[in-house]
Formats: sequence, C-alpha cells, structure tokens
Amino acid sequence: MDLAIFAQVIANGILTGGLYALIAVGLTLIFGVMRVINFVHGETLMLGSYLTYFLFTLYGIDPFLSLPLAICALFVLGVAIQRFFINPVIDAPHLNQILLTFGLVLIIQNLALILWSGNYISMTTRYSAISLKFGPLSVGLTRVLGLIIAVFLTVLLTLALKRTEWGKAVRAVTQDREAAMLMGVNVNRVNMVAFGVGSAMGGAGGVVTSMIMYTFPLVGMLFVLKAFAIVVLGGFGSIAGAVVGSLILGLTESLVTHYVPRGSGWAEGVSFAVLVLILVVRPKGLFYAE
Amino acid sequence: MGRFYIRLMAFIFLFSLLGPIAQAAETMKIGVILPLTGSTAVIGQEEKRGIDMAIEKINAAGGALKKKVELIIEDNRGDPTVIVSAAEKLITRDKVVALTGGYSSVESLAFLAAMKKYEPVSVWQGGGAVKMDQMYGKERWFFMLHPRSPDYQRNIADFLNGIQPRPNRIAIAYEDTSYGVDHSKVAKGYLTELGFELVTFEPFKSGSLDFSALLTKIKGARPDIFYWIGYAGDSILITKQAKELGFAPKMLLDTVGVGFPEYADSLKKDAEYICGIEVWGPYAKFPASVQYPQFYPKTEDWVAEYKKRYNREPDYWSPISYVALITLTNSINKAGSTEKEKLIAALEATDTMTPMGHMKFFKNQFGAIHQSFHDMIIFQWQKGAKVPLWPKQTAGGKLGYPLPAWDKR
Amino acid sequence: MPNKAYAKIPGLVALLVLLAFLPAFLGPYSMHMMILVLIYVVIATSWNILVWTHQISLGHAAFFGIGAYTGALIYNAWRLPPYLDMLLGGIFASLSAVVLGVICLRMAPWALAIATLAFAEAMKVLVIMLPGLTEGAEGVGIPPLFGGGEAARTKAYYLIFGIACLSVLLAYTLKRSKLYYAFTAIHDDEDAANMLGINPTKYKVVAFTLSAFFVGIVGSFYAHYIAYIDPHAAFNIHISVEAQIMPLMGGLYTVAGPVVGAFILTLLGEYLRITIKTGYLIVYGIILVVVIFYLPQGLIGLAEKWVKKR
Repeated sequence: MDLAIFAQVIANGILTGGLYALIAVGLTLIFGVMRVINFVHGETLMLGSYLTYFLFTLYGIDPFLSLPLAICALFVLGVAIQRFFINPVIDAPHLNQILLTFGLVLIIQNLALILWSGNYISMTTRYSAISLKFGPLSVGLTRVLGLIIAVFLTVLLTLALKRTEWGKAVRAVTQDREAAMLMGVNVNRVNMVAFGVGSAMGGAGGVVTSMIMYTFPLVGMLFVLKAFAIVVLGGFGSIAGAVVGSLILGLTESLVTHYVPRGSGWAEGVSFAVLVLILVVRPKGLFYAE
Repeated sequence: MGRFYIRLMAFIFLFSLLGPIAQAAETMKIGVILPLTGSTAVIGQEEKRGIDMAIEKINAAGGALKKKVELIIEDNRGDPTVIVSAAEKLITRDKVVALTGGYSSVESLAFLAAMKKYEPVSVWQGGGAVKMDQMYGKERWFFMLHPRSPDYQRNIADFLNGIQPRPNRIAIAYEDTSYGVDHSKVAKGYLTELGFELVTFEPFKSGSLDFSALLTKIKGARPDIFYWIGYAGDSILITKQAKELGFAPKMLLDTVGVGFPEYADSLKKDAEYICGIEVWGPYAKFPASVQYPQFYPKTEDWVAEYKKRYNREPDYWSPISYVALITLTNSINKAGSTEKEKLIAALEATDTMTPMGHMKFFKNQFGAIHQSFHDMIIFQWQKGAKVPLWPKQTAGGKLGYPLPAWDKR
Repeated sequence: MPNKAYAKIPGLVALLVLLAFLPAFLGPYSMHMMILVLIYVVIATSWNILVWTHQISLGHAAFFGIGAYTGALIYNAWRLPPYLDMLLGGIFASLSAVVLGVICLRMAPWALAIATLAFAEAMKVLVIMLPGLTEGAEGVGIPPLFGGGEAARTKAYYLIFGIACLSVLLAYTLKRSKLYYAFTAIHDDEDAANMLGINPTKYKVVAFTLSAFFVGIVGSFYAHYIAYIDPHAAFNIHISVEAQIMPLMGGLYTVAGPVVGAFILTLLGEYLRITIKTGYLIVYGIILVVVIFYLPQGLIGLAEKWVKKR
C-alpha cells in the first residue's frame, strides 16, 4: 500500500470533515439548546455564500474578509428567525417544527431562485486554487483555510460555552430546560442567541463553500441532511460529537472513494451505513450530553 | 365532524370544476413544459429566455393562422411525476394544439410514456439518451431536436483519435444520473473500439462537495486524458480541485458542463485549456435563413440581440428552444391547419437554416424517425473564449495540447 | 362519543360515494390528480401509524422505492399480473422494514429518524450502483398499467381507491384495537410500558412493518401507472417530506388526518403550480408556515374545536 497515497486520502478526508464540521457544529448548538429541527440551517449557508459572492463581484471584497460581515449578518438573521418563527413553536411537537422550518426553506430557496437565478456560480481570486505541498501531499489552500476557520470558530464556541455566562446558561438549558428555567435562566434569550450563533456559523460555512466549491440557490440541500445525520451521530448539543462525527463521515467517504472500485458512487451510501451502525452501538449518539 | 367531510367534498368539487376558463379572445394555445424550479432550474431558465424571445417575434409576425399564439408554460420542477401532471393538463384541459419543451432524458421518458395514448404533436428539445430513440423513436407525433449521446461520443472519440501524438490512457468519471450513465456507456464503446485504454471508469455523485478523493485516485492511474461527464456545478469543482491537487494530465475534457458561460466566468484563467463538446456555441457562424429571415438572422446577429436583451451570453439551450417553438409555429402556418396529419407533414418538410444550424428532421440509426440537430462542436477555452476545434473544417484555432502544468501558466 | 360517531358516518359514506363516482364526471387530468391524491393518502396514512409508537421516519421514500423497483423489475422479468406485483412490492417493503426495525430497535426517536433517512439514501445508492440488476440511473420502463388509455386510467383509479380504502381501514382497525393501547403506552413512556408487560420492541417492529406494507404496494402501483421510474424519482426525498407534512397538516393522532392532509396538500400544491406561474413554491411555503402557527393540531383539530363550539 502506497503510504503517500494513503496520507493524501486521509488528508482529503480531514479537510472534507472540517467543512462538514463547520456546518454541523452550528446545527448541534441549535439542536442541543432548543431541540428544534432546523432545516433553515442549510439556507443560512446559502445566504452566507451569496453574500460573499455579491460583496466580491460588486465591491471587490475578498471572500475571507467577508467572513466577519457574513457572521454578523447571519447572526442577526438567525435571531430574527428564532424570535418570529421558531419561538412560537418551541414547545410544539417536533413534527410541527419540521413542517415550519421546511416551509421557511421553500420560501427562502425560491426567493433566491427568482432573485438571483439558478446559475451555478463560483469565485476565483489570486489565491483560490493555490495548492500547498507538504512532501507528497497536495492540498488546496482554500480548503486548508476553510479547515482553519472551522477549527477557529469551533474552539471559540467551545470556549464561549465553558467560560461565559451565556455559555453556562446554554449548557444548563441543553441538559435540562425545566431545571434551568427554575434556576432563573432566561431561556428565551439563550435560545435567540444560540440560534443566532448557530446561523452565524452556517453563514461562515457558506463563505467557505463559496470559495471552495460553488453555490446556487439549492446548495443548502447538499449539506443539511448530512449535517443532521452528523448531529444525531455525535449526540445533540455535543460539539465534540459533531466534530468527531464530521471526521468519521469525511474519512469514510475519502477512503471508500479511493480504495473501493467505483467507490465514488458508493461513498455516500457507505458513510450512511456506517452512521447507522454507530447509532446501533451508541443509540443516543457518540457523546450524548448526559 | 360530518360538516368537515362536507367541506372536504366541496373542496374536491371546486377543484374538479377548475375547468377550462373561458378564453375571451381567439388564441392558438401551445403548451411548454420546462424545469423552472428545482435543482435544474438553471436550464429551464435558459430555455425560457429562448422561448420568450421567440414568442415575441412569432406574434409580431402575425402569430399562427392569423391568431395570437398563447403559450401555456408549465413548471415540472425537474420531477418526472410532475411532468406527467403538466402534460395531462395541457392536453386534456387546456387543449393545446401542440407541445414543446423538455430537458432531461428521464423526464422525457416519463412524458413519452404518458403521452403515447394521446399522440400530441411534440417538438421536443429535451433528452439525449438513446433509450428515447429505441422506445419512442418511431412515434410519428414526436420530433426530437436534441443530439443523441452517440452523436457526442462518436465525435469525441474521433477527435481524440486524431490528436498527435496519439494519447492512449483515458480516465472517465461520470455523474450518477441517467445522463452520466448513458453517455459514459456509449463513450466506453467507441473509445475501446478505437483502442484506447480506459484506466478508470467511475461514477460520482452529482452535487458532491469534494472531488479530491476521486481526483487523487484518477491522478494515481496516470491517464493521458481525464474525461468527465458532468454538469456546470460539478465541472467547476472538479476543475478547481484538479488544480489544487496539481493534477494536469495532457487533456482535461468534459461534455456540456464546461460550456456554460458561468464556467469560464467563475474560473477565469483556470478554465484555460479545458475542452468540451456542445451542439452549438455563440461563436457559430451560420448564415441567415432564406425562407424566414425575420426569425432566423445569421448567428452573430441573433447572439447580439440575445445579449442586448438579457445581458449575458447564450448557452445552447436558448437557441434550441427558440428554434423548437418557431419550427412549430412555422409548420402550423405552412400546413394551414392544426390538424395532426397536416401538421406532421409540415414538420417533416421543415428545411431551413437557423442561428443554430440547419433545421431538418432526419431518421437516425438509433431508431428515431424525427431527429434534427446532431452535428457537434468540440471546443477549448482559450483566453476566456470558446475556440471551436472540431470538426476540422470549422476549426477556429489550434488545440492547446498537452495541458501545461498548473503552476507553469 | 356515540353522537360524534353517528355524525361521522353520513359524511363518510357521502365521501366514499363521491369518490366512487368521480370517474363519471371528471376529466383525464383531474382523474390523474385524484390518483396522485390517493397514492398520497396511502403514504400519509401509513406513515402516521409509526407516529403512534413515537417513531419518526424521515425516509419513508425508501419503502416506496423498494415497492416501485420490485414491481417494475418483476413485471419486466416475469410478467406477473399487476396485482401480484403490487403485493410483492408491499411484501418486500415490509421485509426491509422488519430488518430496519430490528437493527434500529434501541435507538431513540431521533436516531431512528436519521437511520431511516440514511436507509432511503443508501437504497438509492444501491439501485444506482447495481445497474446489472436495476438498470441503474438510467431508469426502468414498464408497460403502462392495464394497457394505458382512458379505460385503463379508470381501472387504475378504482384500484388505487381500493388500496387507499384498505390502508385507511387498516389504520382505523389498528386505532380501535388493543394494539393501539400498546402503541400509546410505548409512545408515552417506553419504560413504563415495559414494566406493564408490554414488549416495546415487538410492537415497534410491528408498527414499522405495517407502516411499510401499503407504501410498498403503492410504490409498485406508481411504477406501473407512470410507466417509467428512476432511482432519483423513486427514492425522492420529496416523498418522505410529504409523508410527514400531510398527516401533520391533517392531524397526527387521528385516522382522518392523513387523508385530509393528503387531499389538501396534493391538490393545493398542484393548484398553486398551475395558477401562480412564478413563485408558487413561496406561496406554498407561506401556507405551511401559517398552518403551523395557527393550526398546531392540524385541520382535524380545528374541525373538532368547531364541533365543540356548537
């Protein structure tokens, strides 16, 4: 077995896993705090990517500089969506929430389709296809930057959860909402900020994907189901779980694609099968926040 | 609770009474089915631009049989179930005189299965799978405009065969849809016949987020040519990642995904040297039609008008839809009637130049009796423009081969 | 309760009579839509059964697709009578449900939901990657049901009408049976149910199997009726989503709910599509959002409130 190739396959898997993680971490936060099925998360990614694209093509703003802008914009949007659409149904049965967020998704996707047309668009900057070479390994600069952003934001979020008042409140609510309320936690505010933060991370994911690949109005659909699977696999509310789950999926896809004949076609099916197997062994997810 | 059921019955009644709403004016109704929403909306939108341009001209020239032509446009969302609903509605409720539209082969096959019992005259620009020719090619009411997959692949195989020094190792990757599977099967047949060695033959998931694993595998197989069969989004990502991985075989080739203007706009210099194949590009140079100059100016002028109207370069889906609709209305006018046999005869007699090329329906060797466009052009992106290279007599430049390494450009 | 029951019956009979006589006064397009409505009645009703045991399936399209492919491939290979094909579609779907149910026994509702989603996607990949068996991504053509044509469509309508009635009857019987007590107990508190001597595993698998059976049958029906299927259409996530939102809109813990939801969402969706040319999906999305805000119990819940007010 060629070790250099194996290293490349692993590297590819980690980079893909990093991209998934960026999207899954935001979702697991929302899911953990509110137990809400949030299909709109895919649309925060889409909106983040279009924001980046327009800032780039109309004003020449470099995509990585758009990152803070996208994060703020999507945070505000997330808070608004939570306040006006999600909060009213927060105690409703989960299925109602599915229907609601699905309705929101239809609205947002089709507005985007009408306003911005269905074309597949991407951006090219001076650095966009540079690849970094580490010995026999060749990895895209933007992918590495995407991984760095994912790590940075995840670490930031984890620190916030551990050190800030808000973070403690989030953890309390994730563990036991009733108890947290009894202890005087302002659950409403926790929810809004959590949704905002989660959406902001989705938006960051959008910035990265618009650089790394391409975007179009339905791009959210490519990610949201996988993100859900990762969130459940990792255990809701568990950031570590989302990260590990993302890596498992990314690595499985990479390994299957490379080493299995016609593996590229099988990859997704196999990674879903792996997911189910893990859930059989750990039915509540890898790191279920007890 | 009984009241509730009564309300439900009322609902059903109301719906069934959504019958044909009385049309005040006398119009000639033609049905159009396009994927205007859903993941293939980009194509439906491109087709609609061609159709919008056509209908204006048609009605400005007097319409069909002195009546205004009214298009009833249905969105099928790229879903084969909805295309059946849309077609049923157009034929049985709206009572359109004919149909046009279409995009994918799967939708087209579902459409054909449902329409076989009605035999509506259909001038259809969708679908290239030979399965359509085999299953429905003999249907007299069905007219196909789109080239067939063997038209693409025969040309690619001959083109590659003619390159000096002759390449030998080809890696093929194809998207996991009927389009990818069909084209790749046909490609495999022609290429192996000519003695090429297929070092890889892999399906990939359309909409993949990451092709690095696939590209690493293919890079390891050391092909001379990497030929992928995919659409716009995947083609953009494949090209980007090929560059990232430093994968530069002697040629990077796709089918239609690299023909979209957005491909070069998005990739800029990185699109350089990529080859593709299409049935038409805005660089084509067909002369104006002698019979219908008002509809079919020379290609240059048609493209200029399109650009002025829409502020973008056309992809082939616009002219093919434009020609499909105008062919239909011209035939109605020539036949002097919408009666099926007369209309079919008039369509079969179509023989004119268009901005897209010579428009005439031929029998092909795959089982179809009415197929028109099948001449393909192989091009290469050079300095941000598509340069036609094949067939040799229409070549507008030289092939850049082999591809220079990514970092040496 | 007796008053309510008696009030229901004339309405129900009237509805059934209306549906039985529809072919007499509806045109082909409307008949086609009614067939689609009835297909969804079956899917929605079947999906709803699972909810009674607190199991959520996000991948119900899997059973539809399994039924569709079973029906199509068997018919093309052996030309069995369509009824038999459809039954086989149902059986295969149920078998796969049993297997899935057993694998996912210990999973919490969310894990099960994702597992069903994964199952649907994995089935799609399987069909695409085994073209020797399934003709892969290119899809399978089948001779149209009963030969195609208007008489055939009427026959097809009565067939799906019969299947829909059977599936609703199953749900109704289930709801009145002792099984439903077990389901409810498991739904509310699995551990408590266990202590009461109810084996949650057994009942959950039973619910899963019943939920898949008719979906497999209509999948096979669909393949025959549309006469062409491909993996992306047969395992379409749209089917899984509609399977959920229809019972939701109609009312989850009732038998009439999924039926009402199927009628309204199918017809509404098509109505919007043909009247609003651009942006009809936006309107559809808005309607969904509004329904959730104002009708959290679904339409049946709303109807019941009205009845109570009288």
